[in-house]
Amino acid sequence: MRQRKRQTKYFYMFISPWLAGFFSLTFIPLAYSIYLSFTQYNGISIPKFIGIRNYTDILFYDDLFRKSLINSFVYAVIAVPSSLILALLIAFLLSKESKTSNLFQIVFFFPSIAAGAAVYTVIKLLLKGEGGLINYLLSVFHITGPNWLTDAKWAMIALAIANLIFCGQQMLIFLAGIKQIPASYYEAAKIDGAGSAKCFFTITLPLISNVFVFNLVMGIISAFQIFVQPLIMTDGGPFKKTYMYGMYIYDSGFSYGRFGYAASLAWVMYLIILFISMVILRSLQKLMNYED
Amino acid sequence: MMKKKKVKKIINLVLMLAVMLSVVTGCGSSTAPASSPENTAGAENAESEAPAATDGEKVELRFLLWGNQKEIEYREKWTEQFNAANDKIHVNLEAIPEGFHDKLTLQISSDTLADMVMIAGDFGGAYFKKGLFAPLDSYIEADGLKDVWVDGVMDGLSYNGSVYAAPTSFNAAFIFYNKTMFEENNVPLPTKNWTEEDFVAAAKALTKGEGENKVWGVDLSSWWSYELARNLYDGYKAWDWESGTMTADTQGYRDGLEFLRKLYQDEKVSPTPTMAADIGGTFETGKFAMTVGAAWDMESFNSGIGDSFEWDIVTFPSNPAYGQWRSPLWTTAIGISEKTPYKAEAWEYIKYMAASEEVQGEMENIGLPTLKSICEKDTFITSIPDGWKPFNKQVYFDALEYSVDGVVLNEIKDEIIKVECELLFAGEQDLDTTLKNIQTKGQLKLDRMKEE
Repeated sequence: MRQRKRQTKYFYMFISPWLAGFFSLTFIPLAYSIYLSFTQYNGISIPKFIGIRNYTDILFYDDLFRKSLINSFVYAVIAVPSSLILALLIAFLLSKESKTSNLFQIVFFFPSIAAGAAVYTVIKLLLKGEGGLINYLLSVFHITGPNWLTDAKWAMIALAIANLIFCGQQMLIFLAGIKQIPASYYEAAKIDGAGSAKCFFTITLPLISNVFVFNLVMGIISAFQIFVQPLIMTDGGPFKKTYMYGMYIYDSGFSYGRFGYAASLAWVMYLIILFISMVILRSLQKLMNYED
Repeated sequence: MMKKKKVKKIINLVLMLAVMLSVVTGCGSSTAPASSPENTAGAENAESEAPAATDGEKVELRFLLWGNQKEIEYREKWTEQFNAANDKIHVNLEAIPEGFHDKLTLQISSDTLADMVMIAGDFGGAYFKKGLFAPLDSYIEADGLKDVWVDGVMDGLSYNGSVYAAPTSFNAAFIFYNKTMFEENNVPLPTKNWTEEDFVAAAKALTKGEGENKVWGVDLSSWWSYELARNLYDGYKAWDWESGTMTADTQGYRDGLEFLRKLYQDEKVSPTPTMAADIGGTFETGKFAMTVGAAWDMESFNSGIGDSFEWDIVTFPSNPAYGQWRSPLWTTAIGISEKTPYKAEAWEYIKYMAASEEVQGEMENIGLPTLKSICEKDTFITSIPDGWKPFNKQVYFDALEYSVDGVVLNEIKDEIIKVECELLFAGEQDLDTTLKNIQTKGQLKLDRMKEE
């Protein structure tokens, strides 16, 4: 009994720093942002309670809300699958025993640890319409490159392409999943005459389905929260075609001092991401329970 | 046993709540200003309320400012001079080249506003009204500085009869033109009396070439296009702040936007703002025959152009119906945070920047000096800063005649006018739709802003 009491005491003692951090840095700000979302607050005066008007304004009168939400959705639809497929492909190739495998893991993961702002600035210069390296290389093959970041048809695609550079993190998670698969499965399949493609689709893919769903959900969350990339590369243009939801939240709060409205936008975003994640998890539940 | 568990649970819960409460109260701070000009009359005694620095202790002051590279460099230099000459005050600059308003909002909302803040005449009013800055009348009077600054710039820095910021420089827009390009193409050089027709004719004659070798008649691809769209033609603005109404449905505003649209879409003499990011260079590179700018560009154009070509400046042209194009008037000033306990020390620095001949004498490197004794001196109009090429300095003052002061509503300008004009200028939307959208969406925003 005394032993148990002592254990309980230590439990609370060890967990208390985290609890204090969680309450002061996460829970209280979250609760405060819920309160703010029901107020009109410009950062100067005392917040004024206005009920659900921020939410009704967002849902019924705000063009930019709809526009930014659609943009984020389109970005997620293009960027998430392309990034997942590339990450999976690289992970599959790097899972083969090779002397250079480790080197390439570092190479592909490097952009993920580099400062995003710096990388996006370089990509922006590479994609410049006049004098950009990409269009120069295309011109060598007599191809006239588009204005990647200022043409409404190409800007979103350019963002998705730039996002591929950061697939290293997903690649590492896939790689860890693939390495967990016992080699005997592949050996048995090969004895039965299965080729590499068959092995991938019948062994690798089903056995990393949990990892796949994890990367998918995390990718969607990141895609909906994207901010720095469009801010640096396109500033939301042209014609607000790449103006993302995260940028709208930032502008509402910090550029225009509408903190209450920004908090409401953030909570609407939370509910949207929650809904999408639940739909994905529910619909892919069968895929995840591969052991059954 | 069950009862004991319940009691323990309750104690735990109470303790937890107590911890949370202590964190809330410990971290919390009132974001509401202590007083505002609307509810107090005692602000003028700011000097007597401020605690003096302890003997021998150096007061550290923060100054939040914006500026391009050259502006910041000059302000750093003057600040270093001030710091070197002062044993008791040390000013630290917080220079924000881009996103100044975001930083200002952040500092205000987190109760970490710098002791001194750079303010422009077109946005200061909203902050003065909310009591974020201290009135400077008592300091100005005590130092006999009441009539030392150019009269026209003080309106935007005052509220309810009190002055809240001291002006350091002011600017109005004019046109830079590539003299060499004009002469080589036998296009008459622009003069003070040139017309809108002359401007378009010159721009058309000088627009040549294709692709990367294209030379444009004029560069209206930067943020200038939206600034001009605010009120190009006399008296017609997109909004009227006093009455809280959008005025984008007036004929004058429509004509102004239509003129700009024609430059991009019919005459094709300037790249659109959408194309700006893809154009490899600005006026300095010789890709444009003309551009719009202000005195703050002079230093960088002088160093960037060098001997590559000859250039000069000229006033805006005139429209036969509306007269000379209008330019916003930008007054740069410094205000003191209402909450700083070091108002007297902050005033010393402001006085040095705004009223000392040492700084104001060099101010024309980044804008026009506001001190009358400098800018109204006979020799000012003929003197050229070191390293600069001779230019028509009279344009600085002529431009002030067509410049207009007014409140800028960033939310409407950036969220609505910029978006709608970008579509119009790029030929993606017609004029009627553009004006209708600016009017209706802008009014919705204005109505919300009035409630705050």
